[in-house]
Amino acid sequence: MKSAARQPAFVECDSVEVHFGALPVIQGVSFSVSRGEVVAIIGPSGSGKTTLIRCLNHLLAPSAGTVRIAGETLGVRVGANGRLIKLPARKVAAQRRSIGFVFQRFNLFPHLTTLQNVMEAPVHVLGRPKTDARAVAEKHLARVGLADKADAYPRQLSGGQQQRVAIARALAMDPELILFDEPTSALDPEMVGEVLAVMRDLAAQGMTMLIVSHEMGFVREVADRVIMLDAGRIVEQGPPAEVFDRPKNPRTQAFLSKIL
Amino acid sequence: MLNSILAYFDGDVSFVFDTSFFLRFVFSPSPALLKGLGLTVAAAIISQVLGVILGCLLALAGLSRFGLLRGCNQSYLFFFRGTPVLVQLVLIYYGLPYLLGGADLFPPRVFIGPLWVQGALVAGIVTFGLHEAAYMSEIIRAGIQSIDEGQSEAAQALGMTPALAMRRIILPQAARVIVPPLGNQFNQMLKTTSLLSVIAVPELFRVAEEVQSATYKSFEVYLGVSVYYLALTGAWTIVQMLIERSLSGSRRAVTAKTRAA
Ligand SMILES: Nc1ncnc2c1ncn2[C@@H]1O[C@H](COP(=O)(O)OP(=O)(O)O)[C@@H](O)[C@H]1O
Ligand SMILES: [Mg+2]
Repeated sequence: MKSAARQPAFVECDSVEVHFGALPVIQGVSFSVSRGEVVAIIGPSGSGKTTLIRCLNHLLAPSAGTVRIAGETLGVRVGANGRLIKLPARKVAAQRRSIGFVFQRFNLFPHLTTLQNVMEAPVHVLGRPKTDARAVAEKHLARVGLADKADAYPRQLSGGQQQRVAIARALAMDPELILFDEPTSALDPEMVGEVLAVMRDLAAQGMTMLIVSHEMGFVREVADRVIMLDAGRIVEQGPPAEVFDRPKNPRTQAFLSKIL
Repeated sequence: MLNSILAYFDGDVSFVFDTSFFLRFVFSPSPALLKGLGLTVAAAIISQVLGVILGCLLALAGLSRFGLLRGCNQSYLFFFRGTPVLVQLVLIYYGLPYLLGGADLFPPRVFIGPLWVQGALVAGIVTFGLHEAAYMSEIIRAGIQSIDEGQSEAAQALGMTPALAMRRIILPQAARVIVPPLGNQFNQMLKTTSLLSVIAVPELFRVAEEVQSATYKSFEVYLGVSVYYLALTGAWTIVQMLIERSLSGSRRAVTAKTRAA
């Protein structure tokens, strides 16, 4: 996928800033991601990784700056006088359809079965017929190795299984991009591998992915590029081999020495 | 036995509990009393349904990001929880037509759908529904707020609008939290309907009062009507138990399946 980096930018993050009250959490972050590229975001706890990745599907509106996906600015449009105008909730919701998001804590819908969790959005957001949606859902559940758990409720599944269902739920919307926020950090160690295996598989099939992760072995193997975030700023980025083996920034060095 | 326990003497006026009158009042009720019973149940159910629907809207207003809507919700609660429902009833029944320039808002008979209904009953149901909405709105709001923030985020990340996420994801989960207090509210509503007697709606208590004024058998009548209310609330308690058991029952079945798996 390294060649994909030369294609035009698919995700463009332009001078994004996020403040919570007076607290600046993201401070002028710009980067882009090409189609098919896998980018990992690393950085110490509290550096703003979750905040940043939530801006990329507009779960959080940046205080300043813009995020463009496939050329379309998320959450706002440019008005006649060049000022940015907020889009109505319906438009923002439509923009999110092609962006999958996998949460640290899975956030499956506990009142629905595994199959219903995966079918929910295709049926009620895209208006797909139930029989089609069911077939697609079954396909994706099989893809993450959980075909036999279709009728189970989330609380009957292990953490690793729940996270795989969450990935199947995102895939069922046929996304062009999937965002992962520390998908394995809420898991018991023995379940981390099964989730990473699914993600590795997605990467191999050319899915565009942005992954916040502390699994450095996985990042080194799967990511095309690593972005190091510290105190809300990108302090270093490059291919994993470069960043991990020859970190230039002292903060990256300090962070890596603690985690590796 | 009952006679000797219940009989008492007050100066030279002797009072003897009329057991056979009491038993007849309870066990072979007049058609008017049965109709009153039906009216009580119907008024309670319709008022409660109205309260739940309005309460939902009020709860959404209370959770809105628009200050104006939250303010409306606050003032509504301030009024409807801060004044007695009896006062609200007479305010609406007598006061509202007056405010509207003497319009005959609640005539003796109004035609609603296929039914002729007493205007006072309509005023009563509207009042109870409005009053109930204030309490239901707080119950529903608490139910919605008890659902983890991650649920609405996951729904929105899948492209749901906030309204769709509320309907498909949040409310079905909140319902489990809302059902038990809703049951208690309905128990209260069954009893609150007795206030309709002050605006001459012939519900259970009003009919009993009419029997009392015709026979002067006060204690027998009021004890008898209490038995009726106890039967209503008792039956409702059983229904409530069944509903709550089926909610937790499905959870038990699920846990059992987990163990089997
Ligand atoms: N909703 C919020 N309100 C206020 N502060 C927040 C909020 N969310 C995150 N923060 C703060 O922003 C900083 C970055 O948080 P986060 O993006 O979660 O970091 P990371 O995911 O890298 O650990 C932290 O200091 C955190 O306390
Ligand atoms: Mg985080």
